[in-house]
Amino acid sequence: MFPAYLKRFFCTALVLVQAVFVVPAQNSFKLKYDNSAIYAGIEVGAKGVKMSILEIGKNAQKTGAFNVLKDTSVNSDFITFSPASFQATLNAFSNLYTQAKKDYNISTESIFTVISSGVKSQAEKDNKNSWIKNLIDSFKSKVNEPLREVAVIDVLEEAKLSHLGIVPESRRYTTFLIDIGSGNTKGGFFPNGDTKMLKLFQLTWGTKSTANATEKRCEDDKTLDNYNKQLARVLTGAENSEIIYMVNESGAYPMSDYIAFSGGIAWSVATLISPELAGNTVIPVTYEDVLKFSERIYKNYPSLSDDAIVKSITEKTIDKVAIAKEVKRVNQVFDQKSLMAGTGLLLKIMRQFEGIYEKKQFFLVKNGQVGWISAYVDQHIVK
Amino acid sequence: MRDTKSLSLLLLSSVLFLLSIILLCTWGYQYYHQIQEDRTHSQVKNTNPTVPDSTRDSLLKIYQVTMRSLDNRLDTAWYYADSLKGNLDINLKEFYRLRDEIGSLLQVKSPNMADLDLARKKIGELQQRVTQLRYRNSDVESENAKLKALLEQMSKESQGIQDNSRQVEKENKSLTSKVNEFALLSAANLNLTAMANNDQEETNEAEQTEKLVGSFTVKSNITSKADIVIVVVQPDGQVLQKSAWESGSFETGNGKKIYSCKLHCETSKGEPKQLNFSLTADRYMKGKYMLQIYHNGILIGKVNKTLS
Repeated sequence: MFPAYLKRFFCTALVLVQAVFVVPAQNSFKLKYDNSAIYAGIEVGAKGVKMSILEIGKNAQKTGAFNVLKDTSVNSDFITFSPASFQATLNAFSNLYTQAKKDYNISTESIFTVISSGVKSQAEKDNKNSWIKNLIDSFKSKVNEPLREVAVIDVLEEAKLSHLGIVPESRRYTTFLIDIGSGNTKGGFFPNGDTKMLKLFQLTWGTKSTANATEKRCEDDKTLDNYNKQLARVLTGAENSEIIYMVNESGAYPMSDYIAFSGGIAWSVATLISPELAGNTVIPVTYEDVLKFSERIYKNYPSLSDDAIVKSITEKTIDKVAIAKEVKRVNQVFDQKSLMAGTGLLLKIMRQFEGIYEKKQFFLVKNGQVGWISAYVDQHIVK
Repeated sequence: MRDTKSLSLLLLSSVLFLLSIILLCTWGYQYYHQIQEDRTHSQVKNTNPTVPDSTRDSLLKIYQVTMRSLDNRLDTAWYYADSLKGNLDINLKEFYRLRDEIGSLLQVKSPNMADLDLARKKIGELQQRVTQLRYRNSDVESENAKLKALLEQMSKESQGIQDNSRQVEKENKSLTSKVNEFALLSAANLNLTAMANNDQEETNEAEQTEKLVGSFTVKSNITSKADIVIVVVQPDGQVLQKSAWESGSFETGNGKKIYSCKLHCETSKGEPKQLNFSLTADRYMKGKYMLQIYHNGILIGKVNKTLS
């Protein structure tokens, strides 16, 4: 029907159109590494479904070279185990999957789907394991992929994956990773020089629980001075009743040269202490740095506003707009009192590793939330 | 005449007889009465004697005073009785038992002598218990005071140790900073090289470069430990960082600066020491790379390398 040259012309045009519109859809991300690939990890968590689009460098396991390109979440509250939350979770799960596939043009082999430890432990507690199975089956049927793997991760595996995802290989057996969450703190280290066994570490104190306990002690006096006083009491109680014992019991002190902290408070403190390192995922700090910062939150909180921080940066090559945006985000997530509570808890844990003669090197990890999913993705990539 | 005499005699004897009978009856009655009285008396002795109220009241008073005197001290004894609680518990049980028994004895509306005797005896015992409890209480209090003093002493000592360690740490820091101020560290023979072909050959081509290798010698006027900060600025003005875990920022006279990596070294007085480092980037730009070496926030050396 068409002459041969016209066929060739249309084919070439089609390829060009694809090259212009489809391929850049994946490459519209600002990539950090050469020879990297883009993957998506979709995780059903206790509160909602989260999708992380990751750029994984060629030596991610060795250097920790992964970059978070996009981090999206949909609240669905799956662990209430109600028909409504089930439906909301299923919709979010399948929609994010479709989004990764169609909007970001990520192949199905590069999309990893998992159920987090938070869901698993709550389902076990409430005897609702069948809900997880139903969700997985419904998801597979909805996305029309009956052979798709949806792994269910337990606490130990998640802690192990977080360590593998965050800490580079060169420091794997000398780093104690501690994740300060809102309601608790967990982490661990590899004591035997291999990744077979992770010594798990847990505390019942988190940023929010510390802030709540302090608020409760404040009673009617809501002044900052009283908050600071009561916070010191709450933290001393937590230190004496739990932190000292748990750190000693973990046996991490003699086994670790580096102590890395992840979680929301680590991200906030890192962003505010070293705004000039906005592009870095890990920030080295000393105990004195964090102590000074803690005093600054209490005594000179206005100096932590985005305007004040941007003004303090002298380096000309730094992207001040990006820094201001990130600082603003921190200040939206944590107010002055929560920052004081979280930093106080961080300091109490750091103090356990502050010897007079032997000092450990501390790090604050900013992107800890995607650590485990990135390790999971990295482990499951067909290389 | 003779008949009248005998009649009078007969009359007299009859009167005497009658009198003697009356007398005998009176004696008999008296004797009988005496026996009856004796019997009643002995019966009364065996049954309830009448007890004056004053006796009961005085006993009740003693009991109440004993109770009152104990009440306050009992509370403090309970409060401080942590370590001696076992013994105190036994004594208190005994005390409560006695108190209840005495209470019930004294509550009886018409108590007999025996009950009151028993109550008196028990009050005596109660007073003894109270005295024992008082001693025990004072033992607890003195023990408590001793422990408190010991705790205070220990906390003072630990505070002293903490203060000392803080002081030592502070002094160490100030000494270190003083030493560092005097430590004049100089850097010489600075070199920044681009390596290609698995570190086998040197290159000036950005495209061929696989690694940047730097070397320099440091010399100090004293023996000390030092942190040397390496900054490699790329042609676009950005600092080339070794890795997120090895790079960071540091204070200089012109504010905070990002560093590529840090080297720790021990310097001997006057002896030069060679230090090396390497940096790997995903891609190398064409242009001028600037190596800067800092010590204590002060620039001690710099060199450039151009890649074409």
